[in-house]
Amino acid sequence: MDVALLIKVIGVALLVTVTHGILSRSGRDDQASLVSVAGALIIFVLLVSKIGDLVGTIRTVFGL
Amino acid sequence: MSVFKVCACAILCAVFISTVGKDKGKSSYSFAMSALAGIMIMLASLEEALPVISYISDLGVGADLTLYMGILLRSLGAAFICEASAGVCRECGEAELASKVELFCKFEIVALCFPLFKNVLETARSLIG
Repeated sequence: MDVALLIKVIGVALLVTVTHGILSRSGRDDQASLVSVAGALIIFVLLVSKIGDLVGTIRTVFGL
Repeated sequence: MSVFKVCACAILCAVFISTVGKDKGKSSYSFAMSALAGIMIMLASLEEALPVISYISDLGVGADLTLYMGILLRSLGAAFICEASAGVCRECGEAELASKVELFCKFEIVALCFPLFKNVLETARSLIG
């Protein structure tokens, strides 16, 4: 049970949320949207790797 | 202790999602967060179920029922992965896509059990004569 990965994702999301808030409040909306897109990409890459793990485990356990 | 880890992860994820919220621009995080937590909990539950599944398949080998146990286990795996995918689709708000995935899962299980139906019908036919 990889709790470290979950906490990593929470950390990235919090950091991106805070950065997005700061940048949009200081008027740099384009940089704020770039930061949020980058954060979303990082989280999706981690998610896709975990989905790959799940599919591989199901394949080996159930013999599909 | 793994049951506490799983519950703690689920609660941590739920608290985080409710804190960050489902506002515009943050909704991708809440979806990804809940999908990730759900997938990790499913992996943990597979780990817990692994001794039971291997015992069931060993039982089949011992009793010469490998075909039936294989069909059972493959149907279980198909149901598991389809439920996970439908849950992720529903989390994104795509309830229609989730119901299509579940429909496919039903057909897949019927297709996997088809050799079993054939066996039963042929046995019945041989008994009737």
